[in-house]
Amino acid sequence: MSCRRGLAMSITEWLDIFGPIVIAAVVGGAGCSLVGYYLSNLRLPFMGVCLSHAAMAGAVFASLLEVSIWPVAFACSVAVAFLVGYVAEHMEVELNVSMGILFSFIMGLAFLGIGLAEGPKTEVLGLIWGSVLLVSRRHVIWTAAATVLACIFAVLFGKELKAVLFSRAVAASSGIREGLVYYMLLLVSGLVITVNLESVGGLMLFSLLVAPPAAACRVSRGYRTSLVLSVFFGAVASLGGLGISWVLDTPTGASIVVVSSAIFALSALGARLWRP
Amino acid sequence: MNEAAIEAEGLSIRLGAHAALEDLTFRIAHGGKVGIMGPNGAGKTTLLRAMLGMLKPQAGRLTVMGQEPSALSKTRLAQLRTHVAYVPQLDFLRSGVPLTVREVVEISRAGRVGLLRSLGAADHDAVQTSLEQLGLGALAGRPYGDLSGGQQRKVQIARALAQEPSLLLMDEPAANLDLAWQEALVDLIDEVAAVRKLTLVIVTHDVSLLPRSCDSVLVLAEGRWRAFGAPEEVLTRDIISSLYGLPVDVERRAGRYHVVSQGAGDVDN
Repeated sequence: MSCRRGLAMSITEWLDIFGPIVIAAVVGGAGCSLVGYYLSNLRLPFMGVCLSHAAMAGAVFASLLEVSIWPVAFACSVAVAFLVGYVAEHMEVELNVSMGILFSFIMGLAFLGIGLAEGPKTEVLGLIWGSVLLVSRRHVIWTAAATVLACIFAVLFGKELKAVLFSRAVAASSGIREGLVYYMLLLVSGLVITVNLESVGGLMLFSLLVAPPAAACRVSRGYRTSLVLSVFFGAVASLGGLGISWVLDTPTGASIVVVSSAIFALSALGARLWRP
Repeated sequence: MNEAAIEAEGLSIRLGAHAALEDLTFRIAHGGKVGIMGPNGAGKTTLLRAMLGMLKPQAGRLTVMGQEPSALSKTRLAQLRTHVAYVPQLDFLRSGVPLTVREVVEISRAGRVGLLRSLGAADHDAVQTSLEQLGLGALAGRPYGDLSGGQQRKVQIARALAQEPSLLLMDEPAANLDLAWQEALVDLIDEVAAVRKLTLVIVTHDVSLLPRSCDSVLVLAEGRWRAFGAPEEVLTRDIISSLYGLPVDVERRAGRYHVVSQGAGDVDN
């Protein structure tokens, strides 16, 4: 769906229809990039893919079974996060290997579910590609609530998160409950990813989780600055993608991915040109 | 009899199918300065990780400051660890997160302060004291990732000291550095040992990197106890030759020990 037909509207009408869309895009992009900053710096960017696809698979099956989509999607996302962590810690399987196995299994389940869907598959396909233009006001509230929760988590556990990002072993040996902080981070990440599934889509979410944090770490040399910049880049990528979709009449989710990738490319270029 | 800071009785740890430590028994008194040495794969790092409660023994007992780390709840283990500082091998610390030197040192205080609380004035004082003691005051605002390997190890030692621990565990703190940095770090560890009242356990595979302050040495090979005692009793030609399977001479110069290889040859183990 494109945004162009809004051109002929009054400002009030425009705000009424597109205000929630803009808020969902900005707040959702910011939230994804906030949790993405932690996952990327824990060298777990693939965890983001696993969580988003687990949420997608859960949503597809919930849709098939005609039960409420979001609790199932969230439960699947969190279950996979904990399963990956458990397998890596207790079964002597390398973390990326365990995530790779689970990711392919989840993808298989999601497409199995899509294959089993009868009739028009618009709803389940929407979970893959997402559609920020079709989000409801209730969804916007959920997205904002998840992002606010992620921000509160980042503030309350700031010093522990910083330590865990530096080294889980050092954090643990300093008496920090790093396991607790790590699993809380996965829980919050699962929530943020799940609520953004409808607007950004399971396949596109990965870009918002990885590209803005990577761009922020390229151009910034401080922890706080890079964290804030990551959130800012995520919001800009979403808003920019929405704008491009409006102007060029292109699919919104794909436009967001293109903008977030462009932000990373520009930051990498800028860092190369201007850093000593 | 002085209560032991660390005590192992018949300690055995397996890593998968591999016996990393077997039937190890030793005792380190409070305030002791102990070097743990042995060739690669001797089980030195495994022993440190067990002391931190990161590995559970399959048999035997290991107590640290009177508590068994493997038997503690996660909360109690975290409390114990606030008194035990750890300097891991630098190869394990390749973080991409852009922290300054001060922020890295501040990590040491997070466990003591506890969840949902900010660092207070006493924490900032401990961090500043530690930075200054190690001559890192001028580097406090620099990105940690910009420092050389030697400077990064100094920061790790500063982080450990800022924790104000009763027990300091160091894993190969001077390995893979150039000669000047190796000497500087070994001297620094001696200074720390003289100034701070703590129990020090330092792991190394290189005899020449044992600080002068070590009052005893535990020698491991293939996970087994080989010798434990005063350096002059343990760091002998016979024991070191047997340990590495090479004929060697051991020389003592200015309180430090140096191994001189006599070339390849067969030595009865």
